[in-house]
Amino acid sequence: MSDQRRISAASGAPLLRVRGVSVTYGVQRSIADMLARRPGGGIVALDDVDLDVDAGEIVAVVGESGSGKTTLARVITGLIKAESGVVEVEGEGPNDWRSVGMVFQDPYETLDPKRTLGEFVAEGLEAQGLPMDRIDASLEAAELRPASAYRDRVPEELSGGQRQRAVIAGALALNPKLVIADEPVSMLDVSMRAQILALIERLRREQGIAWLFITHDLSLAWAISDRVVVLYLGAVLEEGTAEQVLRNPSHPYTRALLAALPSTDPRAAGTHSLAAGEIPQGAAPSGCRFRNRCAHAVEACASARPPLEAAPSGAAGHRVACFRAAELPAAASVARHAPGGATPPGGA
Amino acid sequence: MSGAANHNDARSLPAGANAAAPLLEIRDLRVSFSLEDGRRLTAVDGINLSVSPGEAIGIAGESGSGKSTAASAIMGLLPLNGRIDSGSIRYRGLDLVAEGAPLRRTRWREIAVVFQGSLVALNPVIKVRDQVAEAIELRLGEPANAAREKAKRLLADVGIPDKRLEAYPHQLSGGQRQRAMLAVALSCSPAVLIGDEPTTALDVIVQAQILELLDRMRHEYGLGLILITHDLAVIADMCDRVAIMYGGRIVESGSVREVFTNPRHPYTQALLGAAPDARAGRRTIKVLEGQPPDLASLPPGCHFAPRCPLADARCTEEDPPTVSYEDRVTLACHRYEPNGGALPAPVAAPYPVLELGKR
Amino acid sequence: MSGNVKLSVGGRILNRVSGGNLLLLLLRRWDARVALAILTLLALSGIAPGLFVGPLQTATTAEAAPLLPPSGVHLFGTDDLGRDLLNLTVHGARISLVVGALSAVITLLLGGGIGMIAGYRGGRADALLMRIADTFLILPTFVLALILAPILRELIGDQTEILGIRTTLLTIVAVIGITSWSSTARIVRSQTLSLRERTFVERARLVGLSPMRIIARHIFPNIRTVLVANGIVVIAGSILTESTLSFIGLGDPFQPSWGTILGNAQSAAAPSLGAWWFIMAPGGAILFTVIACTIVGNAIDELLDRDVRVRR
Repeated sequence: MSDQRRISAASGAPLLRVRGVSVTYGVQRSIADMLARRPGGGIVALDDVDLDVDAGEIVAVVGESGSGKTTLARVITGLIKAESGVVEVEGEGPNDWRSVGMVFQDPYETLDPKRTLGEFVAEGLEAQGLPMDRIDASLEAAELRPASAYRDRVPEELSGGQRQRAVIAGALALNPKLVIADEPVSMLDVSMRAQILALIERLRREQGIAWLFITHDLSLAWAISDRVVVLYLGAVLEEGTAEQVLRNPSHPYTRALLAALPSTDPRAAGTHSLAAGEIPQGAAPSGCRFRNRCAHAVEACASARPPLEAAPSGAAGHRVACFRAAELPAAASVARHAPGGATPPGGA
Repeated sequence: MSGAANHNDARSLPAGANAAAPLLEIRDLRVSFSLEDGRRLTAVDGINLSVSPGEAIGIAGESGSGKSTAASAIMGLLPLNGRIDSGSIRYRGLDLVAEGAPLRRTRWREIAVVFQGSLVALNPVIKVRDQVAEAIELRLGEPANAAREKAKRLLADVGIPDKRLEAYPHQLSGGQRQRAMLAVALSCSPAVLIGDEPTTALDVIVQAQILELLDRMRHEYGLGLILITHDLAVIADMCDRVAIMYGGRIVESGSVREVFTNPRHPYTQALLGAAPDARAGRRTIKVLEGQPPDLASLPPGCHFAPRCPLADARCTEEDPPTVSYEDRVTLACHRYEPNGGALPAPVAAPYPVLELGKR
Repeated sequence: MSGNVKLSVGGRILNRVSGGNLLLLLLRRWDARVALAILTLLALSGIAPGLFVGPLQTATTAEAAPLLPPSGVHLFGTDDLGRDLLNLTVHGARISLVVGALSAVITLLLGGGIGMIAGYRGGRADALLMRIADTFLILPTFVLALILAPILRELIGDQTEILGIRTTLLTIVAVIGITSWSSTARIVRSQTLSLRERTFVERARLVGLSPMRIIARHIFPNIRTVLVANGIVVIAGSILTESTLSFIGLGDPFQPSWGTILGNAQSAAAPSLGAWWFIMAPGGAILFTVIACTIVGNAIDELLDRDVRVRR
């Protein structure tokens, strides 16, 4: 364990602490609403979300469209304010720290087409009143070497992978302890992703930077992260270590995600969809947000939102928000076999 | 399901078509674009492909590989600055490259396309059911009422519930839009269905649903299916055969089982190993250096040579020929000798391996 | 960065329209070439009329017989006072040029500035600014000119000259500016709104860049081309407006613009006298100038449209 993780584990305080964060979009209060002192309608993007990231840790947030993952990123970086709840980095509130960087999904859009890479990196320094001598160091830390060859180039001349490195350099310039990466490789060609993933891991190893890795790609979340948080319609449905959640999932949604995942491995069985319908656009259903699509839903699921509790696996830190988690058939580990090709335990 | 014409019977074939010929046969297709500065860019550089009824073939490649251009060429949807330089695209023996109105009708009736879902793939101001009905009316010449009834049945069959029939495209979810597009595509009981990244924009679970649907439709209609995607896992799930494209060429092709179990071409190996696989329990990935080639200014020799760990002098001088082995696998790689046609053992390309999640 | 198309890596074909290569890209189109040639002629006439004709002929310096048809000596014929129409037309170009340019500058500054601020700030500032813009949008140009002319004359004084333009015409410039800025503001505002949601702007906000800096550095450079296209259309519109106002007599008789000449033609009953050249010279000048502006504005619009479409 790196020094930083030891320290924060000892002090018990996580690097990033998110508690009870809720965000609602598009609240339109009509005059009638205002007179009756009613809150207006609106889409709940995040509903009472808790999240911790320790120093030097990589936490993956697994979410599909409508899950609230982008809103979560925006709240943590301070771009939008949550209606309720707390976001703290190293114990300080959002206005007091700038040690959170962000890497956006689209490297073609994050860089202003009219400005050079050097200017992009300098922008953060300028806004924070920091000295400009960090530009080259940041570019090289993101493996754009030598910095002199990249400083004056314009995004148009670069590949997607190089642009994403530039975006990472921009985040590194501010010396962050935590970087939020929102789908950092999903817009890159598959053969270029490895370079960025390697960079992320190296930065974690060598500089102790923690990452909040937002992705819809389950295999990637499993491979790269220490812990996984599964987000659906603004609520955390399951969380635990990568191994626990993605190889031994407890929540019906997580299981459905994994069953639907195709694989090039010829030994893996084909995909099947365990969940009906699609992510609803608009308001989430009452009670458990997944109940409309869940094969195991019962009446109780409509009345109240299931809290996050210890998963039936009993493993430390593995929590699931499902009233029926304990009753569900013990899934044959959805992964069909252990690495190395041993035959799977149990049947399909 | 009634209404699904089985194109294995000859009576419904267009004039000049030959029932015995392979469904779709592409020979040596070359497609290029003219750029504003006068240069010519070869997007598809001599590919060979064939599809039989009921068969699903996947075309895999990343951006710039030429796979989407190939699909556009088959459908006659190339943009104004693109043209088919040489080669042939034959539907049951009918040459589609030659222009002509009867052939245009053939294209859209016998060969249908489902694109990557977006709001602009369907007409946003026409109700979905009417779009399907319109397709039936125009292409099959059926009267409006009959067309509408047929459209309703078709939409139900692809899983769009009754109450969504009156909806406009933007009122539907992504998955439902794809189902609607599929209904439009299937409205004329085509023989070939081309899916160009049909599930890329969808969430994982919905993707599984749509793939299930595609598979069911394939069997019901006896379709030949061409699935174009960058996602090899989807191809592994859906297809019988696969063709891997790089830089406008097919570098390896064969049965999915053979190619994915024993990948031979270095690029195939890189592509298969490029992503971790939670279901297989693999968290190591192969690192492929470099960038995709600039199709407008290609160096001589194999297009993949600059990034290939097995490349030698010959690879940068000569284009590797495409060799067919036992009719099971085709390869375009100097590393594999013609071998008298016998399938050679795979040679592992030594890519650096990155183990993700190493603490 | 050259104006040539580059195939960037990964197969995205790009054709960026930026300040540097805008001219080059325009020159590729034959219609833009013709239009730009006409506008260059206009500019030259305005800046250096001496290249083409002698000093402005007045009633007293006119030498020729009145209402002479075009000939070798008088290419455009003469007017009712015997002044050479080519001379008048070329000198009139300066009026049109300056009026057009000044109006465009005012419009772009006001409209562009307000549009960017409204679009970026959003909320109540946006609503307020747009309501103001709407108010100006409905003001009728001519009525306003008629009302403002004497008022401004009182304010500025009769003998003031800016850039060689006298009070009366300054009034026209002011009026055009006041009535045109709001549509520019709307266009700029909607561009700003969509730019604001772009990721690179979001990122600038994230690192803490101040709104003013963001507007200056990220918003403005990306709307420059839209401003240019809009500006050219404003020039065309203002030339037309000025011509009309001068035609009905609000212009300056000592600095005849094309509209004034047309007005003179009408008072001299040129049509019934068959003195077609009297009408054609100024009328043709207005016509070709406005068409040229419209073509260029259109071409820029199309380039921008293609830029947006092809970029992804």
